[in-house]
Amino acid sequence: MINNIVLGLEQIADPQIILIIAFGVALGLVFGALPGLTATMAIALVAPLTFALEPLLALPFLVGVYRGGLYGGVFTAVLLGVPGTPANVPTVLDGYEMAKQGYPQSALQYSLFGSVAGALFSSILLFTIITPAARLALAIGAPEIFALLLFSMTLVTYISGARLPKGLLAAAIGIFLGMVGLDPIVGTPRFTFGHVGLTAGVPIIAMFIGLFAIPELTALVEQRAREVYRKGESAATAPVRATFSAPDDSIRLRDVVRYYWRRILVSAGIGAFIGVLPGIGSETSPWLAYAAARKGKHGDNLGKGEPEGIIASEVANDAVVGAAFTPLLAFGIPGDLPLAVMLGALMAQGLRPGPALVRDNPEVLFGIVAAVFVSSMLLYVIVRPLAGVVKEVVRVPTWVLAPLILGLSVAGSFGVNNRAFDLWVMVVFGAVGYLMRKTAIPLAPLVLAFVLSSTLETSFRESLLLEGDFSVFLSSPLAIALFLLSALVIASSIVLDLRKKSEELPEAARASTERVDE
Amino acid sequence: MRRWTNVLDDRWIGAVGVFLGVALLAVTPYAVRASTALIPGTDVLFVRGDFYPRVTAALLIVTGLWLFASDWLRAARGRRAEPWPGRALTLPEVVWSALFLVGLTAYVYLIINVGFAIGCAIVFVILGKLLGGKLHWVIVMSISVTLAMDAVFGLLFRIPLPGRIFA
Repeated sequence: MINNIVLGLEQIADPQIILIIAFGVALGLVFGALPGLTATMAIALVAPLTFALEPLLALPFLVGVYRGGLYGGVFTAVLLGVPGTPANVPTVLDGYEMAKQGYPQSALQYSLFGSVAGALFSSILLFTIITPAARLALAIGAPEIFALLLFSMTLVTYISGARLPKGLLAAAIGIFLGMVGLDPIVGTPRFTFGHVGLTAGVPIIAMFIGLFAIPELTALVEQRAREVYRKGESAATAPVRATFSAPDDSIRLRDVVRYYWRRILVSAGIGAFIGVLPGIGSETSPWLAYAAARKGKHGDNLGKGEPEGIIASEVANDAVVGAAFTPLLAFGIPGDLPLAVMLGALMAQGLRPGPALVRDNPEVLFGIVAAVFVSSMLLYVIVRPLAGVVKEVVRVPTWVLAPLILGLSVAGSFGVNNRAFDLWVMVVFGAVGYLMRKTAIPLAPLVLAFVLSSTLETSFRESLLLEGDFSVFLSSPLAIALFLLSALVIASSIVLDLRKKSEELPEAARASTERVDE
Repeated sequence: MRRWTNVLDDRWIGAVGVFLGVALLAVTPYAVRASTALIPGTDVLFVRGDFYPRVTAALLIVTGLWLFASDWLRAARGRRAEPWPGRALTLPEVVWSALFLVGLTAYVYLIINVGFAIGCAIVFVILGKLLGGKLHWVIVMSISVTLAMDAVFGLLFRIPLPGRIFA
């Protein structure tokens, strides 16, 4: 294990790489701070720019963007009461409240210290478990990989936040899109309809940009439509911007560690556990950590500007990062949505995470692990001086922001393959993403199913080639255990859905009675 | 102001799922030319290329029907539709969004046929004005952002965008 850590640190012990990680963190910070932009979008938009770079420059840069993007959402959460990313929602509850009470600086610093603590915890954890995980990845075969991927897909639909049928429908659409291109075993074209552009499959970066960036732009347009047709209402509903009335409300790191070390450890543990589970994202862990904080000593003060609420949420949010890289690097299964986009970027670099990467490019694998660790430390170094700049960035007007996003989307989509076809793919998936948003179909199952589809099919058919029938899946205890877990996840989701519907029945009956009385 | 609720609801989505599944099954024989490319010594049904698309099609049909049926049952029992912020669409929002998507298509057409710089400059002005900027500032923004992007993508990252200024 020590050898692998040294190998990883050797790969990035280059001022150029450290600088590019720092630049990535700063860029991610700006993206995350801009309302409407997320870490996922940041990675999708900047990934095409990295294809001209070597893997050990490109991938640490993307890791830095991811790290910065996750933290950047804190600025809008604390200053505007608008979560920059879904994972920052719990931070709004106490962070914005603290800022409104006149302590925005403290709120941002609690968030920063919590984020760095969580990031360092999960980075050290990643260093510890990546080697045994990589050994396990090399020891398992096609049936186990298929079972693991299937389990990941069921987990994704379980926590997608929408009803199970919608999650499964999104996953099925993702699998279908993943089949476009050449058959992975026989090599004949499938669903290309004779179009050369689809021979290599649906262009992944253009698709992601269409699914994530274009609906954000339509949301800005819709917001403007509402403003135009509802003049007079907007002043009453405008969010209260926090002002910096208290000139000196800064806090010290050692005080945070001294008073909140238990909360930091518990929240980091929750975040790391969620992160290791393949397919589950960073949106879940902050809520679990926040719920755990409610049962703590200061639980009654949560929601009223309590520092423990901010710390719990941000520690868990960042603790996911390092842990989520474990299934990505060892098994090729992205731990959450931004990593699914990063998987696309890795594949575009010609690298396939999973057992192949462990076996053929261990220096790249451990270099990425080292980059995760270094980006955690750089987060603190960069945020302190840049905080003043980022606070102004959140005030960028929509009419400047939207053209910037649009231009980046177009250049990014075109830049991958240098062909106009990808632009049309971006437009089509922009419309698809918009419709999915309006109909509450979650994106996460579609994206994860799409990136996993090829490996899922390959491992399935390779398994059948081994034995010729389905008994191959019953020959491995690990595969059987994973299949049973998948069935359990789907069954429990159905039960929860039915229970929710039966709780709605008394409400509906009460509502219909009230209507009759009226 | 009229409010459209349930404009796009689960019944439509269920119908889309069923349609996709049926379409997938229908085009599979055309799309999968490997159906006769057998791998010696293996079970034909499971290994040939059309098995996996058929399973996906079945999943699409099942989930589509499930969604379709569950929402009809929900409506029949008098329950409210599932609340979702994006669902409550007003006519202006729908029209503006639709126009934006049409404009996006025109933007891509402009870039391909006229060039990146001119396409961006024109579209950024329209978009900036649409989103409430003052005309003179929008023009300044459009020119600045276009030049900056052209320089960054064309010179720094050497992406051969059509019709670059900084070639």
